[in-house]
Amino acid sequence: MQKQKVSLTNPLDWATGRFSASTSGSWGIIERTPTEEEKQKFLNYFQNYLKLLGPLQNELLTSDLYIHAALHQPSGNTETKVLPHFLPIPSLAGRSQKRSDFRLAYTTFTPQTIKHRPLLILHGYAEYGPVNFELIARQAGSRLVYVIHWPGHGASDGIRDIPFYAETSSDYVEACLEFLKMIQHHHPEGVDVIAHIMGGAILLDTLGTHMGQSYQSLIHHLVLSAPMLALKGMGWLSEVLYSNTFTRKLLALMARNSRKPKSLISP
Amino acid sequence: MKHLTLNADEQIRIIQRQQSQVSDHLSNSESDWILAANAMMTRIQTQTSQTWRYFNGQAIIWAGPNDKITDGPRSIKIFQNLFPKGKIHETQLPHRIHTHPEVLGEIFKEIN
Repeated sequence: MQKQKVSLTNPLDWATGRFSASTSGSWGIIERTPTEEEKQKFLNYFQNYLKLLGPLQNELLTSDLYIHAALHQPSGNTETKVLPHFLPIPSLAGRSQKRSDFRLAYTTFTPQTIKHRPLLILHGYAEYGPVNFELIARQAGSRLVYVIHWPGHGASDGIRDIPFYAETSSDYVEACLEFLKMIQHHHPEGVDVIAHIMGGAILLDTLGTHMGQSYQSLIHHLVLSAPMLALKGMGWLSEVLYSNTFTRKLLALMARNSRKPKSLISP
Repeated sequence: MKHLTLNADEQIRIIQRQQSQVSDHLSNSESDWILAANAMMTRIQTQTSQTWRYFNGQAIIWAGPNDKITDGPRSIKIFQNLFPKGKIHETQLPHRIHTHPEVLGEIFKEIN
């Protein structure tokens, strides 16, 4: 059996014992209990990450801060990679609890050299794209990778007490449309897309129902991973809620029932 | 920068305890999401290849009967209606297809 090199990449790792592992270059998941050293390593990451975030701390939930901190280990000149980017969505203004406008967040993974078309990743319901699709981002090689944060998810605006927000499906479509406009502006040569469950449905709804030649022709390869074209039923939702609670509400509990990052710091 | 006061073991216990407290109650927001999802799927299911006439790229789907959430076989039929020349990968994986290294390898073979 090959020796596995384990890296602490996910804030949930040391709570669940699930680690991202690399074996001779291919990525997978193994399960084991994290060591004290690894736990301390993550907490150190988090402390350093708060320094990098600065005022943006107040814009993110504690759970998101943990996730970002773990995903982007702050060292050297990583500041520009750490922070999510924000795209204003004027048509969704007022949907946020904190702000009068609405900002859609997206994370970019930038390789050292870019040789291929950019890759867009559209995550599914109750997922956090930069973490759930980290494996893909790592394997994208010489592609610039964009990972969207759907409204109500990740660092995007939305109703955050209940982490997944969609008053109507048009909210997602509006966000998708503006995101694609931005992508086309920066990458008129076109992109490839990987979309998972709800991400696939939003994209097909946006491009098929609401948009024509300009944006459909933007996409060279469209990969749909278990797209939400038909569901087995809603019984699975409780499982998703469970996962969602885990990734957001419960991580907030880690901050002693406070949603403010400041409370993570001793007085 | 002041020191973080969190105790990792304590946090883990909190999470593990909460993991056993799965609520089956749907809030208003979750009901909204169900309505939103149904609206999207209804619109997509009425689309045809004609709707996608400007799409010159390659469409690829990974879906299968064992998917815990989506109806894989029916999804494939809808996909075929949208993309008659699309490529279909049937998988026996339960879900989160994109996290399986072997599938990731196949995805990048397709798009590179």
